Amino acid sequence: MNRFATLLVEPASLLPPRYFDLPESTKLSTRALESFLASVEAKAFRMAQIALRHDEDALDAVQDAMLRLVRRYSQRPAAEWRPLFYRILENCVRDVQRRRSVRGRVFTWYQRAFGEDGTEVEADPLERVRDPSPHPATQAQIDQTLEALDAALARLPARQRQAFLLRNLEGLDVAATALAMGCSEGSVKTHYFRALHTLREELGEYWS
Amino acid sequence: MSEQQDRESTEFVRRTEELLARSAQQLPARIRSRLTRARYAALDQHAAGAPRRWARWLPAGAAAAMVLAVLIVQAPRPGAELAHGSAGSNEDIEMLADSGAYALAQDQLSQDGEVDYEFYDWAVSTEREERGGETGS
Repeated sequence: MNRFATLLVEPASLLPPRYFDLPESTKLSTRALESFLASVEAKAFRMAQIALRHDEDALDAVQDAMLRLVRRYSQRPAAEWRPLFYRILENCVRDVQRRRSVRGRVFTWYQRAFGEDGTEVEADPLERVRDPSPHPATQAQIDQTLEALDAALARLPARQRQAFLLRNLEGLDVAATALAMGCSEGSVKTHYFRALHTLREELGEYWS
Repeated sequence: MSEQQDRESTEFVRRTEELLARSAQQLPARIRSRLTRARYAALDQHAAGAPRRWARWLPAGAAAAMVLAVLIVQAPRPGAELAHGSAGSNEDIEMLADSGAYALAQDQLSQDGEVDYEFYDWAVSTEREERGGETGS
């Protein structure tokens, strides 16, 4: 139980009532998992989104990664969850890419327009909610730079992109990145510096 | 790598980190909502794998149910008991209801409390004679 202690120091999230009648140990591990998943989900989504260049596919990959982590590794010490989760996420991203190459464009269009069972998919009401943040010229500039960064990252080889994002978006150190990528620390450094070199060359004009 | 290039790299990384962090923090509400749902789907799966608190009483409950079932099966049924004893009971009730039976029984006893066998012999022979008369006619 002590292995969850570090995660519980973070602001505790309240579990929904349906988890109240769980045994105490399960409640504790559920809360720890909840904190962990909440801490990684946005960054994980961005990584998947950059790799797949598609929101729905990225969401699918993140959800799949969450389910696999919980199913297979929830009993492992919480300190191991982060690198494990990102390794799973990379596999899920690769699965989505593989599926994409199999299904045709027409089928994809049909599925998005009408859903899997042929009924028309209702738009998420949240899509209609206006973003309250203002969009001044600086925001437009940031959006443009971010778009260029996303595109440049997407063009990188998968291992280089993974090393760059795990270091600079998730903030993992070299050792944890190596664990997440399933390679040596030396390989991480090589992938990282190659990515950095390519990105600097491509994005020079946006950074000047 | 020169010191100038080093400084530029560090600045590039800092700006990239800042941009990526901001993009993760400012996800649209629709995406955040979907991620929350995905998180709870995973947590539901985790919770489903664990026994609920009430489930700890299941073995005791099952044992109690089994004992109850055995008691119900083994207990004598009220209908069956009546069927068994119905003939004897009816005779007893008839005897009790017959007010002259006790006096008759007392009459059959001799003064010293012994059974008067001559009376029974007489009663049986009288009965036979009557039946013989009926069949003969």
